[in-house]
Amino acid sequence: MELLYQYAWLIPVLPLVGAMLVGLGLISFNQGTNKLRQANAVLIVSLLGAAMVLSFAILWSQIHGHAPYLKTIEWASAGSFHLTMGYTIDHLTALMLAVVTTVAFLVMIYTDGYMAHDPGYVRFYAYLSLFSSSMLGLVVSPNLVQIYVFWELVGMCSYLLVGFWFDRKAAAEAAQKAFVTNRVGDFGLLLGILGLFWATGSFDFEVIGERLQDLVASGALSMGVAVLLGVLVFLGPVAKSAQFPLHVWLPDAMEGPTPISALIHAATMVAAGVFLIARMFPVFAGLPVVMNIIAWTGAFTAFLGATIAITQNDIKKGLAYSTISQLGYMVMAMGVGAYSAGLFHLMTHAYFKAMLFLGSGSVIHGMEAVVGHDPALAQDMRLMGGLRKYMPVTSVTFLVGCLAISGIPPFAGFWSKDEILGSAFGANPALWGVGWLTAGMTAFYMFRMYFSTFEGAFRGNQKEIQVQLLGEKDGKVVGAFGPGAMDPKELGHGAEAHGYHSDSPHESPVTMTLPLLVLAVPSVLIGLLGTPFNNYFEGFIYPPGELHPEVMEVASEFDWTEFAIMAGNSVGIALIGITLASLMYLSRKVDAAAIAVRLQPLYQLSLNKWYFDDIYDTVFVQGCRRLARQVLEVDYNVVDGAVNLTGFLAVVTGEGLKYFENGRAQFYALIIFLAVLGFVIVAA
Amino acid sequence: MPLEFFLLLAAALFCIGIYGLITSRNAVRVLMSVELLLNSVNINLVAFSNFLDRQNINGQVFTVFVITVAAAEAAVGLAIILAIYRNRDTVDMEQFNLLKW
Amino acid sequence: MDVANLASQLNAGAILPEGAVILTLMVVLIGELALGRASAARWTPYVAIAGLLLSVGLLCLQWDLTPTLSFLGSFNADKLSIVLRSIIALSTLVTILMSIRYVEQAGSSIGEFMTILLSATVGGMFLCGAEELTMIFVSLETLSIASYLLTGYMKRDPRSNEAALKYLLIGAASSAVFLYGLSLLYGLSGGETHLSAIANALAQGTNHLGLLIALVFVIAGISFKIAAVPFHQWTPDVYEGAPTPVVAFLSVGSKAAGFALAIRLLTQAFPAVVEQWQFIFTALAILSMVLGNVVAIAQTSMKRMLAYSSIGQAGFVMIGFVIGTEAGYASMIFYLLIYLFMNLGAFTCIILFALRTGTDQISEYAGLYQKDPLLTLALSLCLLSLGGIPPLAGFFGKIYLFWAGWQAGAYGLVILGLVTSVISIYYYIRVVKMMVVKEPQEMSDVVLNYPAINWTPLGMRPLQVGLFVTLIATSIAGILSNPLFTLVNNAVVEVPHLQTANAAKTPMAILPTTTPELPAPLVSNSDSTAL
Repeated sequence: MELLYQYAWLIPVLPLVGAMLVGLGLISFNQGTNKLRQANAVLIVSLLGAAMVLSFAILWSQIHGHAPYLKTIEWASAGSFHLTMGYTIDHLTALMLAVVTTVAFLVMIYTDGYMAHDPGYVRFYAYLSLFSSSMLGLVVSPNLVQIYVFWELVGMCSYLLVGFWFDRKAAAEAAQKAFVTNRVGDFGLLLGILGLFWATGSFDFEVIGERLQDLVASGALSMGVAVLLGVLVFLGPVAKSAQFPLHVWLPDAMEGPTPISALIHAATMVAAGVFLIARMFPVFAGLPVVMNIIAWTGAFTAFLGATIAITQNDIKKGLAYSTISQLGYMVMAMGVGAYSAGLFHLMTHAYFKAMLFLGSGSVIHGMEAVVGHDPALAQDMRLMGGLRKYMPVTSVTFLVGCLAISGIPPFAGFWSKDEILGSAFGANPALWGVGWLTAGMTAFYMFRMYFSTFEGAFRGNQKEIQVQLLGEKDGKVVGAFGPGAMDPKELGHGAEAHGYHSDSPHESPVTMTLPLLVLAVPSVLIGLLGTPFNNYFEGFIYPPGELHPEVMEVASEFDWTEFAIMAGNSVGIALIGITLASLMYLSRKVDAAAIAVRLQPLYQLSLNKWYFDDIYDTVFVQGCRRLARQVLEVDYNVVDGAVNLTGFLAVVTGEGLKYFENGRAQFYALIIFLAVLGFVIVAA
Repeated sequence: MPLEFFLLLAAALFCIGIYGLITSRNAVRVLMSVELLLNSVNINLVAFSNFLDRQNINGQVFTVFVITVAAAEAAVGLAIILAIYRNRDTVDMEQFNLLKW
Repeated sequence: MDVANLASQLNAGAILPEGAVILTLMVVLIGELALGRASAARWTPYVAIAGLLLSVGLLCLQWDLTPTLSFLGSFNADKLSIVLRSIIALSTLVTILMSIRYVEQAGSSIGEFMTILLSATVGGMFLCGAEELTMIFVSLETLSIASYLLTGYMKRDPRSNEAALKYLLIGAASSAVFLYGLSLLYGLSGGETHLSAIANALAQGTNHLGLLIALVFVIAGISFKIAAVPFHQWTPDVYEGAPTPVVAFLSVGSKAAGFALAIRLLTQAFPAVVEQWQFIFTALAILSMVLGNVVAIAQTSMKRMLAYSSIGQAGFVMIGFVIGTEAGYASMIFYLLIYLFMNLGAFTCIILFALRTGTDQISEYAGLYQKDPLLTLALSLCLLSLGGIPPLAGFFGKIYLFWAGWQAGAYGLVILGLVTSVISIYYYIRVVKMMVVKEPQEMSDVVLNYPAINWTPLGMRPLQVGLFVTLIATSIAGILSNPLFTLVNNAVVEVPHLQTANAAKTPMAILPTTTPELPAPLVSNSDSTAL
């Protein structure tokens, strides 16, 4: 067993090795490496598979009560300053390792089918592997510095992958937007880390927590400063987990290939924010103000995401907003102190949302065969419908995902969401109210998505809708704020295999459907680990600082009536949502358009994503530009003058001084003797 | 004779060497000036050795080494001057400024 | 005193590593004469590499031995000298890797080149441990004269000739000045030639002016070797004219030997005038950092730019030297170690480019990325590391240097170092930008006609090996810097005279408890590792 832990560092290193090998191959023997497409993929997938096996072994041993393991090496030490690097294995890490490796593994298998004909196939695998490595490294990090390093690395991989088709304007802009938005959060996080180090002299989560408590208690550090530091650190998760107000980058990030949306922007990287909150729990737990901020940010984000998702017609965008909303739930759970509930939802969400995204990729793939490669058509749900006939596997798995996310028992999402709502009710009924309402909306928009995609009649051949959609697209500003477009090249597969004007969509190849089926299993079953009457999950994941028996004690005080009320409420609203959706989009008894017209302001608000992009565009982008122009004026005349002058002086002195080098040896000798003389005089 | 006389002689020789090194246009003369510099050091060493260190005569041993090294240096120097003369047909220091700036 | 007794007193085992190099030198020299020049190219470099590896191995074996003075106190094989000797041997090793193809393509004899290069190495290695004036002088001259020969090795190239002549004249002049300083030292100490004895004798001496003159003269000789401004003017000319592998050796091996000499001679023989030599070196450091980095901006030749960059880098290293603390010396040696890899890596890339295109003008590198991504990556990493961009090795080297300087209260120097390293980033990035950013149509002509990449000709494989070794070292030595840092710390801690220099300085003004910017050490590490 010990041996297993000693070699746990292999988990992040194995994918790194894969990425390095393939990356080096790409750099030095570009064409040769690109020719060995499948061989590269097999190498990378099998390395990740090995990491997955190791992760499960570790999870198994942790479940069986192995003590947490920590191994550090001194990375840099200079006098009194020590910085250690290493890895830590505890319950949280073991869980995250298992989740990340399984999702990454399945997404990689899916990628083989999805990217089969893309010229960047090998590069894509190298990036995927690099990302997996960074994410796993993040998960095993024992201190804040190392977390920050990997935090930036996963961010970098995300930008690389969002902008994978960097020759497309929209993708490049989306990558830039993600970069800028994340920078705001990362800057806060960095400030927070440095501030906490300044205050406590440590990068270690628990030590920071303890010392911060002591400092605040003894009055050495004012509460305000402590709260400020906490909020600064929280800014990191706000950006990475796409929380209000830094959520705007995530929907645009759907410009990346669909496997990326599933892996990075649904299952793993965006959950890193929640993970960081969990790691920093000892710090946040002592700062009630920060906890409240976290809870309300989460609640508001959950509500916001759901309201926007209701009106999205682009299937990937809809899922993106749903992700934002679900991340809001997790953050809210963290904020109300429901540590294990939040992480439980993280886990269940990772599985079912990855499955939903992969399913959407499969749908788009199928649609390509009919409507061609314009993403405005292939991803628009108004052109879909009736796909269940053509894509049975995809539709069944998608339905499972919808049920899971809507919180219908016994699917996974029910248990985790219910636990969060229960905790939220205990903390503040208002939070519960928001969450409850959101749950209803979630059920509604998910089933709206399901019904308009898979049920009814297939609308893909109706030319007039296509023309209308294309017109809409042209009318809009296409760019960073445009519809989540897919690259025509991305789905070259369909075109080449079938020629793209067949009349009906088709089911995706087995490499794509298999991961869907595999993911469906945890989406159905994994929730049973965390049933409130027999909560294995809570027995495994509990906040640092609480002892295991305590947790079990609390868990055993289970009240059936209370559970029935809470669960009844949430299932009730979910069912209402589903019914409404079925009335509007399945049987068409209620006309959605009519409602939209009657609730015009609200409809527009949602359709335009609460105008956040426009507000940001006006306030920040335009404002920044205006400010920048004005600053530029000043800058150009004053500051720039000074800086340029310095630069100019440096260049001119360089140019001038170089003529001292007149090439005559005797002059050099003279200088030497004069220098000697000069130094003698000065020193004496 | 006191020690100072020898030191003054050495210092004067050193200064002459420097003057020659800086002003000569002929590369061979420059090399000879370098030899002057080294010889002034030799005078210094032998003088110190005679006045201060009669037991070990370290200075005189040092001088032998300096002479040897100076010979090696002169040999290498002349070889280089020979090579440059073959390529450029001149040993004028003023002409050697291909490398500058 | 019988022979056996004498032999045991000599303690000749201490110079086994140098012995290995000398033996290799002989084998190469005689072998080439016996077997002929044509076949020599095929085996001499490998024999030389094997000999140097053996030498480094022997140095490693010496690490744990208690340091002893050998040759009646002339040679000190302490850990400091072991580290510095290894740096010199390693720099020669990498230089050989990159020189085989170069010398071969120039049509010169490679056996002779190896012989001269190895003699320079022997001189440099002896210099690192020399504790006696005669020994210092002889080993210094061995290094110098061999370097003159190497510089003029392309004897049909007038530029190489001219570089050699300039190097020889300036070198001879400054070594004469150095020697004059040594003779004064000998006289002032009343006839002592061992450094420690000189220091003892000088402690009672009264002739302050004489001592100062001796000091300045000695510093002039040292500064010539490390190319500190204003004793630097030979550097750009020699770097431009000399064969590129030789330049690589001069910029690393020869410079390391110069610093070794500086540490040993100044700290050991001049404790009486610590203030003065630290003052002079501060001035040299300031001048070197400013002038080296500023003039580098104006260069158009890659080799000349690296010449000025090496002057600037020497300025950074001098920060560690002048502050006179243990951390300062350690960070200085650490930087030399890092510098070895990144600078030699950069030179390997330049040689590779020159071999393929025949030029070293910076403007000719435009658009190289399109044709040779590997070379672009390697050169970019090395240059960025030289500029001190994290997470490359050079960044950590600079951080340690500046940190040590800041701790010792040399705020001005550190700030100047930061400013000038920002300037240096400008000209390093310029090259990277030239290679990477240029559009295909802006490609220079030589890059446009870039030959197909071919690693098969004689000597290309070693070049490739050298490239990868330096590249990997540059990329990861910073992140895994702790073992290296422990190494140099150990090397410094056990050298007594470095402590005396430290003690002679006024106590440091910095107390960790009074600075909120640098809080108490991380107590947590010990806790967490216990888990």
